[in-house]
Amino acid sequence: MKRYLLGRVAQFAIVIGGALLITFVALHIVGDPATLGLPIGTPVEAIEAFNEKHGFDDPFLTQLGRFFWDALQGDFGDSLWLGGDSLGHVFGRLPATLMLVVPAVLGGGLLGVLMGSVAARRPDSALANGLNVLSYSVISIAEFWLAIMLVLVFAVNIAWLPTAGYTPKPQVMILPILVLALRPFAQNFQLTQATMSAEYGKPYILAARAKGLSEGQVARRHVLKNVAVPVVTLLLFELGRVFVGTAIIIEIVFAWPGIGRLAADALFRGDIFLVQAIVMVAATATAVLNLLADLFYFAVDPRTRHLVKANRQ
Amino acid sequence: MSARRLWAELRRRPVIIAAILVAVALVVSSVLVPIISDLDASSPRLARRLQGPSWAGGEGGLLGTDSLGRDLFLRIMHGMRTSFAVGALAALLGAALGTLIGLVSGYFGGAVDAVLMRLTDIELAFPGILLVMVLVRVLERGIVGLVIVLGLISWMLYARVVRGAVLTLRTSELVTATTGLGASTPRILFVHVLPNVAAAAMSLMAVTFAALMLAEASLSFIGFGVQPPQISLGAILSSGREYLSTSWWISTFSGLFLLLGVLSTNLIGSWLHRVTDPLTVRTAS
Repeated sequence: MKRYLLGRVAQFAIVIGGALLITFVALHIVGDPATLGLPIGTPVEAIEAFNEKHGFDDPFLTQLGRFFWDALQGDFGDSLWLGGDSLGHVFGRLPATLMLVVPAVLGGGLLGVLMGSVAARRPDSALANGLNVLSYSVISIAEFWLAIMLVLVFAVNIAWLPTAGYTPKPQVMILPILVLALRPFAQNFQLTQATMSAEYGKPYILAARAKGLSEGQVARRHVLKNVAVPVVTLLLFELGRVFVGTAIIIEIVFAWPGIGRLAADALFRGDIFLVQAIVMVAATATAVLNLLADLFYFAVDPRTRHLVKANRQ
Repeated sequence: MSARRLWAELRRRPVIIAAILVAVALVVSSVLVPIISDLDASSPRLARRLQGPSWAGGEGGLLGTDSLGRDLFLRIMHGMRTSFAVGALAALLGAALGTLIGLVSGYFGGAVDAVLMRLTDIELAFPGILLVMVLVRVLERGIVGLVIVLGLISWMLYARVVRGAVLTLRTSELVTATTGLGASTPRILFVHVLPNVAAAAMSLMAVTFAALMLAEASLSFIGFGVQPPQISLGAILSSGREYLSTSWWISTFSGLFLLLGVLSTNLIGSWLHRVTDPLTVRTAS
């Protein structure tokens, strides 16, 4: 158990360190900080001063060591574009992103689980078939296109809702949350439906019914526990994927000042310090969600505990 | 699975047949239309800018024109071609890379395996699109850079699946016999083991293809993908946002064709995966 947890923590550190390393190598070795960050036509003296100031002339390993040492202390340098502490800017934008991502993934995901379990109980019903077609279409649709079409219909044509902009008012958040919720809904729907119908085909269900449990009891005591492991894993995974993936694009469509739009802007401007801080926050969030998923396995599924014990011997 | 059984399976699935027809039509027209058409997809014709589709009372031909007066249908066909090409090439690259890593990892085991599998752990846990954006930013922007980056982020799944298949093969009579006959390790790996795991890798490729098409469009949409003068559906879609209230057709039709392309390949891919994946086929029969 102890060894397992230590291994998990080590992996946690390796994932974050790996993401930072790749970003560092990409920005400093493949690219060049001065070319990326300074405007075209900057005089040679200014470029030299810039490299001098940030120590970009030092040997690679020295730079790398300094970068990780500073990163450990939360110091990612001052943003070239906005000025001031990079990490501070990232944390400043975090609430705006979470405001969209959390309700979208949890709301969409849980609705998907609910609909998936209904569809699994009534396979081949009109509802199940309809939801199946819907979920496939949702997975194939480009979210940014859907977002634009919704803006076209609801904001431009009927003018029910504002097109874009940032005010934490419900009507502004409806469209982005709706779009972000679709994929978690579809994924969770498909997964719940598949695992639930598989569970209902297993012999232990027959045994549970034979001993006189009601359908509700069978579902609550037996099926839900088995379905919970993959579903919660998927929910946590989706949370990470939407946070560092879809949200970037949707924030751009809706001009929403979250961490995703900050990332795109920072990259366009070649603000390497800000980019590194964003990667750090995104990698940490992903790693934390993965760790949570593992711990959840552990709590719900006794087999994983057994496996860990067997490994140790 | 034999071609005959595949055909028998297919005949019972009208949705998949429709998807195949749509996908074939899109591939063929995206290759042919740019060749046949006497219009130029790139040079502006400002006199004809922002004309609506002819069937909606406009004068812009089949699907209208864009903000520089270029024919939208022609540009969409060019973009479709980019989507298919990037999706296919990136899927191939990811499959080749992942299969190689999975082969080596599963066959040699030990330290090599441990290192390679930890590497896939890390890659799987990475904040994907953000790293792609970083890499695309510093690499050469354009189709080649995009294919490399998308290939680099999609090999992990192949590595895992192929490794699993190789692990079971390693102790099989096939490998024992060929080793006994004196075959070299590369020969065993590529002549005897590879054909046995190829089906698993190919069925995964069918599924990732659509996802990679969508990834290309998303990246091009936010300006990190295909750069002009290369044409991409994502970039056309993005250019139409500015004219949404007056010239709705630009964003609408480029997205609609993207949806058709991704949906049809997605349906075909997941069907192929279902009927050809050795794992699911074995459990079903």
